[in-house]
Amino acid sequence: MTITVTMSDLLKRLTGQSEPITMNANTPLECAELLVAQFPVLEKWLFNENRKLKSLVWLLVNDERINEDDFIMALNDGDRLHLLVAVLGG
Amino acid sequence: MESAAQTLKNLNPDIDVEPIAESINKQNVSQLVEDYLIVDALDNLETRLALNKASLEKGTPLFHGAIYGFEGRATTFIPGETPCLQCLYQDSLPGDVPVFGATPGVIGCIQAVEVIKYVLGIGDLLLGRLLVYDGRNMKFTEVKFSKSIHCEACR
Repeated sequence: MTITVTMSDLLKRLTGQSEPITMNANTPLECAELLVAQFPVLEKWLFNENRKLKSLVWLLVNDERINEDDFIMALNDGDRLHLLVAVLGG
Repeated sequence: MESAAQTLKNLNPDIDVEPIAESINKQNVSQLVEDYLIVDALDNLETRLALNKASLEKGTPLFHGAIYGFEGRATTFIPGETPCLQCLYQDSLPGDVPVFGATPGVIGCIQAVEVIKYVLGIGDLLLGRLLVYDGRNMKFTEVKFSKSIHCEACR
């Protein structure tokens, strides 16, 4: 499936990738793995030591946050995946 | 604390301000919150989760705001009606949080609007919707979110 991936400003600056990325992936988890392969700096942001997705960076599919049960949901052609960092400063 | 209270009184002499010089924790949060609406203007996950617990126990709305540098978030949690704060947050960025003073100003104003709408019973609240503010690129976007079936606070 052809997916468009975007990142929040914090991650754009971390990766240097400001433009949307088009990639072929079947699930959000696969997208995350492909992103880490392309931007190794994202590894510690996205995955814990057991290679499970952290809750530090939220995965949004078509502007909706997905919970951990949906990390292996089937994506459709044209879906949009956005990475948003959980921030709690004040 | 006293000077902050006095500053608020100077801005609006018609309001009552009760300064309380205590840190919020699991033990005192319920007593501090009483039955007031809760506006979450904190800077860490642990204390926010304590406020969330008090909100759920009392059935009191929690008006949430958070920032990091030029980025901000705001949403409104209503127990029994929306997901709770713990459905949304299980983790946050470690370390010191950069604060650009205007960002909490923007988010604080949005929280104030939410509180006033709730009190007046007007408009659409940010229920199940997280408003995301990107000050660096001056964009507001919105994220929908739902209850987590694994949430230990509100399930």
